[in-house]
Amino acid sequence: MLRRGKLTVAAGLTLALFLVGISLRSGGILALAIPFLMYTGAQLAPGLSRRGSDFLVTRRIERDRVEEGVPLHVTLNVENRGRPLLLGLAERIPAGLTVSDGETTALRPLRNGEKLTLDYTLAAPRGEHVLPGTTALAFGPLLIREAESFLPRESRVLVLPHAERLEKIEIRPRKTRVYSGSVRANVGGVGTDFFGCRDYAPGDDVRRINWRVYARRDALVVNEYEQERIADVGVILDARDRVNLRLSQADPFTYSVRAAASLAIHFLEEGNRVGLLIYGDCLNWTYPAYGRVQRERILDALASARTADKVVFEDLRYIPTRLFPSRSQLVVVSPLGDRDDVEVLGTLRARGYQIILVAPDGFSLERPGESPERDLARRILRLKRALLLSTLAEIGVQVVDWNLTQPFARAAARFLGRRGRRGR
Amino acid sequence: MRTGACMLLASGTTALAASAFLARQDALGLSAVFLGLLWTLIAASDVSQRVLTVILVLFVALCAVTTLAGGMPHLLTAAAVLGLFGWDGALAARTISPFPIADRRRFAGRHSLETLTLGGVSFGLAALGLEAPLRLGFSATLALGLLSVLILGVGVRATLGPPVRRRRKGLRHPLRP
Repeated sequence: MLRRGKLTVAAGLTLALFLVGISLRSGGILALAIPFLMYTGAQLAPGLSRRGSDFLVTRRIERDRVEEGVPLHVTLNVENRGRPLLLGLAERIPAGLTVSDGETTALRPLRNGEKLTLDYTLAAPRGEHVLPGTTALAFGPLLIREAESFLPRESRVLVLPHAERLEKIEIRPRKTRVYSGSVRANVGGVGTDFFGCRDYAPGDDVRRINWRVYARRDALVVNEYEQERIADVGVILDARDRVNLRLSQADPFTYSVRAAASLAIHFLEEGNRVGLLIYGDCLNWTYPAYGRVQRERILDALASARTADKVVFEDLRYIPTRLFPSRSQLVVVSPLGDRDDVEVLGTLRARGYQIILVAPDGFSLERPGESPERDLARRILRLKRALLLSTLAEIGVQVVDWNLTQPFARAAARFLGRRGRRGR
Repeated sequence: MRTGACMLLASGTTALAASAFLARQDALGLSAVFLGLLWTLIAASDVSQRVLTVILVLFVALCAVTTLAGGMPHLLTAAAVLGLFGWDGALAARTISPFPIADRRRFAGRHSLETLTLGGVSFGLAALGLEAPLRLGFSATLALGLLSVLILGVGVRATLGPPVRRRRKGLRHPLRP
């Protein structure tokens, strides 16, 4: 209750007792009014001071861009530049953020020029979070809440998705760019892997002459090696509500975002030109580029990625293929919906795109044995999913069937790595 | 702090009930016991602050009725002091409940000291008033009462500021600012 409320009650009771005491000429009732009169007087005393409150609020966040799971250390300083008072501070923590250490409230007496500091640590999920400010309560004598005000001090924090370090992923797009990189380009030239032989031409390096062929055929032939170049990689994150079904506490979309981040960063670190399309709420397109700046752009886009239910993006057929260079590499991260999605991926494949499909298995997060009907439904859906994935594998899509209880790096190594592909 | 407030409320209502029973007003005494139980329970739980205030008003009314019914004025004044500061303590405990326990403990002590001082002075003044052989005529009492109300009103107005005027809805007069 603010001072206004307490004062009204106490003054009202004082007045009532006075009036009753005087009208009934009762000294006892007038004596009863004295404690209420004193209480009212005690509350009036600080209110007569006209000097207002003035605060300087500063907030320091150790880093305003952090990866998921990294704690956020926040320091809030409030300096009193007005009259001395007993100050109560309560930092407003937005929903989704949890305080893992420290205190977000304090109650201290503050003289003019004194500072009150709150140190605390936040645990934040992926996304953009805004700390709006702090609520200040000024207390008078008898802990009367004299005033309550909001001290705005907005701080933004971007929590980026956690990206795993992946083993070498071999991609073979039909078209590569001209710069040297790590993708085998199916073109002879300078490289490390043997590609073929051709007749010697003036200017060829003498060290590349195949002397055994010369000994047999008496003609100069040079060895050619497969050129390694960089490629265009388009990462498509499926953010449709209807496919990212939440079957348990954990959100499968979070896993999809992490997989997309891991893959995009991996391909960028290999020197490729990477773009990102988040397909769901709108066409959230990060234009393809190289390097560290692009890495940050992609992580920013993924940090804010949300699932959405839009009729326009109900199926994958509206993926704007013109955004991706023809015959380039596409990486689709999607739990897949139905046969229509398979048809769309088949069409893309037919247009010459090389496709890697990362299909997070949302059912792996669900605990079996809750009810026989649920178990049966899960079994049917899993069979349907396995059928869709096998159809895609038949048409040449590299499928990563990801059990979400395992790290993505392991699934990627198993389905996309050199060792995994050999072992299968 | 909340425990202290509950104890004050219980003591206040006990004093009121004792005064009523001593004046052979059993109905008032039982009402005081019931009110005391209810008040203490509400102060101990997290029920709305308004209920606490409503019970304070009922408690003061019961004190006034018991005074008129011949209850001991000293005991009733003590009951009013205990009830008032119990109510204040219960509200203060709720106000500072979001803050860390170390801060709360520090300020509970300070609040108790302020309460004791103010309560003691209030009771002392009231007791002095009851003991003093003061006799005033009706007009003098009325004048004194009106003066007190005037001073109180000025103080309250100075603290709370002028009353908030609600803006009239609808179209404004084109010539009036």
